[in-house]
Amino acid sequence: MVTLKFTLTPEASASIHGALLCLARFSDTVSLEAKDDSLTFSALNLSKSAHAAVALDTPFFSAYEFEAEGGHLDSRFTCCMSNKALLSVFKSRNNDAKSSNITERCEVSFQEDDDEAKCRMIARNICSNGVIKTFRLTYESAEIMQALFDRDLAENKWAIRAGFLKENLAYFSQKVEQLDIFYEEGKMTFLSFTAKVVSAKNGVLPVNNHRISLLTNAEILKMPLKTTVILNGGDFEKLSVQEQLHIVVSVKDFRAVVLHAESIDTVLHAYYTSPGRPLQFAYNKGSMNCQFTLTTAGEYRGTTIQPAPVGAATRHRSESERASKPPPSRAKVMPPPPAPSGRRNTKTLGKRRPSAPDRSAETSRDNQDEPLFVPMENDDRNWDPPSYDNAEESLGWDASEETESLFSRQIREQEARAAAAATKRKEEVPETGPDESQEASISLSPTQRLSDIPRLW
Amino acid sequence: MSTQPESPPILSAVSSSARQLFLLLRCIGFGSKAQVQPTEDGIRFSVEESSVMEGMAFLGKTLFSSFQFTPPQVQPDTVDTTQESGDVDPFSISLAALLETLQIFGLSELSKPTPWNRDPYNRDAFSAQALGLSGICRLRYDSVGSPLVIILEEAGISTTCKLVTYEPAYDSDIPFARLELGMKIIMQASYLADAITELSTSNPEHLTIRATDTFLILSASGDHGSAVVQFHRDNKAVQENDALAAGPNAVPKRNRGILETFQVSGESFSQSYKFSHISNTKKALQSAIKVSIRGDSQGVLSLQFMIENLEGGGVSFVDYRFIPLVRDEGYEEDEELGDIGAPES
Repeated sequence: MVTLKFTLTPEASASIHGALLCLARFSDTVSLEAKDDSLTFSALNLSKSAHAAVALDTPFFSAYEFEAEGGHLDSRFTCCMSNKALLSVFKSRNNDAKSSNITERCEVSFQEDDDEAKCRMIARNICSNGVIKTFRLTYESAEIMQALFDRDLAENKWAIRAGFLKENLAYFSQKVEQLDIFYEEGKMTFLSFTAKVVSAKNGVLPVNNHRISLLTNAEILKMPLKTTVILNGGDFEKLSVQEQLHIVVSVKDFRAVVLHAESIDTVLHAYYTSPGRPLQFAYNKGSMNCQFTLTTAGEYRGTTIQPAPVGAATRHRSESERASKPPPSRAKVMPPPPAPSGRRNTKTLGKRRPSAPDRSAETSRDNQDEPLFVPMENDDRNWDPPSYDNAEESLGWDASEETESLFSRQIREQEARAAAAATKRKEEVPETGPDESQEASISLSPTQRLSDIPRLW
Repeated sequence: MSTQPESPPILSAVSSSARQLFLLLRCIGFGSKAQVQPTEDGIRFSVEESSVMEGMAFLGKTLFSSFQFTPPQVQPDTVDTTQESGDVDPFSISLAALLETLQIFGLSELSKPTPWNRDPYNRDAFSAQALGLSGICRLRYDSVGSPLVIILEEAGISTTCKLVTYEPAYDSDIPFARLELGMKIIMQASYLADAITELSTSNPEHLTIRATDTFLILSASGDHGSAVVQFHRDNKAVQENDALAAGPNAVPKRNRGILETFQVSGESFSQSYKFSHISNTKKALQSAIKVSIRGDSQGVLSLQFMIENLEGGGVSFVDYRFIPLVRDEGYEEDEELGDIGAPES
């Protein structure tokens, strides 16, 4: 029996509403994770290319009580539910000056009982005039996925007031898809563009060092408008970025992040290493910590690296082309991962769950758990995802959710893993072979183990 | 019929504000056809939906600057002998067309300058707007079977619309036993509007109204869960509940709450209605100041909205009646409602 209760002030309720609105831009469902000291709302988008998490520390609540099954210290409670339903519970009700119906507090409790067939989140909005609005929302016990990101390993960091960024965000067209962020001569450039081509007869465009010339090619762009916003380095609170490093994220995600950060008037921090690796936007306000981990694409266009990056060229490649490629042999060069350092402890403790599976099986399993971070190598460009919009390969969430017995699940996982590894090999192999010897020497340290992924049963 | 051409029209009314008429009639705009019954005291418009919901708007005499009702002389050979003298047969018209007509000049208020007339010096004391001549609306119903003529005048432009009148589609209202009330609650409409809005977020099928001796409970359940809005008859319910939680010796205060009138006969009143029908009242909910919620012994629900007139003070009423759903249809949530009243017991 899990006990989770918390009480919110109207302001806190409104800020949860704001956060949920932001999460709604990523996914229709929202996952909750309750721990002793925090409650996290998170959302993972359908293509698993973006993970958004809003963590609320206990001071955020007027009262917070959590007691997990069995009373373990580091235990958690996870579930997921419809974002739309939650929005109706936590909406800000006091903005209507005409109405004297002022909400005083919102009490939320979870009814999690083994004997009860119904899982209910019960939220009571208590108004000053005696009106009580009670919502009972169904939720689903679920394992939730987390994006792990180590900010200490991120070489490139910048921070800027979200309000300033939002003003400039207005210049990007609504339909535009990609945003290229790079630093050049003391200025930060945000370039929005759409890479989609209407008549993509020859899917692969000639590789060029400059995307601009790529895009002005004979191909008909679906969205020919590009917007460049150049911000002075001085406008940033913090700026430590490698020159000419182009990192490309989705404008939609970026917009969602900036708009929410602006709504709570805070400073937006960005952390990233290189294209193809995740980028994290983070900001906090009071006890609310928001983290958005996004897949990236892009390239380094400095002078020290050899040309012909695969990433840019293959952006237009179609699915069929990718599938027809010969299966390469990357899996065999993946050594057993060393124990990762500096990652968050995500041990689970769901109910009715045996203790974590033995670690010995893990080494063979971890092939699938792509690391979010690979140890810094001089050149790891061959990790660039061959396809822009296929994000799984760079952000390694374990998508294999099963709700069977542990034993059959393990078997299934092994099979699924083998299949996944095969397809992954297909996708991830670089087209050319010059780096193969180098590739073999790369040792990977995954940042998330299978055993770390929460299991509830 | 045998009405002579020279006889005065049955109904001739002039209103200085088409907007006022529009605002009231809009409340019952959920149906396409409205049944019109001109009477001595005003015009009654009623709309029904699937015979289980009925909306009525009464345009009282006071809304019109001139109102003349001349019932036709009852002919001796009239078949309808049950009709009292001085009554006119109701007729029905297209409500959508009527609403469209009333807003033909837009709904701009007098104070609101039109965008193409920004010059403040152009509006002298004798302008049509200042004299209140704008938006004059005349209604005329000459004789039984003749069209309802609506003449709208604004700034020298006059529009004449003739709406075809039809035989009434139905001939009796939903019966409501005024003398056998199961509950009667009067409250500010904004509270009810707020509650309906909260409940509608779960996209429910039914709305259950339950009144006990201390609570009015509106509940609805949808795909994602259920929502319950609970009104306490006393204002200090929260404090009381807190006090009860704190200790048994707290003295409950009997303040008058947001429910101005609260009468429940018998143990409790509990009925379910179709939510989409209830939400048809949302226009009235928005513009009304007070609402009277009544339920009779059969479970028929009557919502009566008091709407302030735009000019000249006074109020108008819009009525709705709902036939309840057969029991056991919207009662799945009953056991969830059970624990809500618990703090009181």
